[in-house]
Amino acid sequence: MAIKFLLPVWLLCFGLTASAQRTDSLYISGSADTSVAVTAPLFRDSMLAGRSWLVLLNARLNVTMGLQSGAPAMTETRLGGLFMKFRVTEVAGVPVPDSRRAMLLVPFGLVIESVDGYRTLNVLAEAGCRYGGPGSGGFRLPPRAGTFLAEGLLQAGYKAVGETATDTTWLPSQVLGRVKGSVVYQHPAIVSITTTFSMGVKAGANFWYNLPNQAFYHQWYGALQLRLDGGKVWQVWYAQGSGAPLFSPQPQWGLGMELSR
Amino acid sequence: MHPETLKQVMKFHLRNFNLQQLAVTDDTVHNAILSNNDGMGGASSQQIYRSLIHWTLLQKDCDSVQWPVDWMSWSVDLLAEKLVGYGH
Repeated sequence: MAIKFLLPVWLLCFGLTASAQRTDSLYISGSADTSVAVTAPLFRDSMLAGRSWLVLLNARLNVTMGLQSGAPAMTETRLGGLFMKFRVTEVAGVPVPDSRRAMLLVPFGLVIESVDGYRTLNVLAEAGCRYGGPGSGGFRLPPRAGTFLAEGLLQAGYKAVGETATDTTWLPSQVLGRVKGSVVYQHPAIVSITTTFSMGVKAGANFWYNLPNQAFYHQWYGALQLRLDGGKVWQVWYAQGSGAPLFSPQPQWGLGMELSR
Repeated sequence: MHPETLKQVMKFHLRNFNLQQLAVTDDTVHNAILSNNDGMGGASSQQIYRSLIHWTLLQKDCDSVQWPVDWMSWSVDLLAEKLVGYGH
């Protein structure tokens, strides 16, 4: 019983400590259904580089703590990155990745998911393809119309702890397999008061097709974001569905803020 | 690499990240255009921009200087001087 409460608290403290040491952003969000979510980096983002490619490496811890019975409680630890293949051009006589043209973007990662104080523990590897998004060139919405990003992922893994699917049809019950699709639209400044004070929107949806029990899950969300001087973001958000690994269909809304940078 | 060259590279990328069609000059502050809250999966415009600049610095063996913690609040001019200005 104690682990149910102590582990998320430890993870939260670890996340706060890690963030303070690395001075990257820490994001905290509270929801009206009495859960608190914290997203923190676990180590400084790193990069590998080649002749016409680079790999961004990062690790994120996302903890959602349910503060009362029935509220979602889950963690997601993601060690991952983004492989970027680009054309090289020259600017002022030096080689430069051509951010005007479409890049090949391949997200990948190792994901550890837990639910309800580690009564369920999933370990997954994922890889896929991404299109659009900031600085990736290629398709763009008209000027001042925001940015659009789409991603498809295959996730495969193993349920290390917890109940296995009872209605699995063609895979061993402890095998996890999902196809995930995501779309995100974002406009950073629908209303701009100054160059560093603006109001924007972010909206998106995630879809999962769970292979073992051939079930379909979805989540959609929207947020009103206030960018303050210094780049800090406050947001009011609404989400229908909790997403993986709980796949709770309940609506949630809350307030999020960036604590440090 | 000369700071003026790095400024040109920075402004080239900032113009391609520039959703709000702001004028990009030597005085442009990075957080006016970049954010660490967009994108997906830890690949925000802030991180992608930094990695693209870092890639060019690596090609020219100019990647020895650590980026300031608060570089997003620095202008193009100041950051370029910080990254390649010393010892030039």
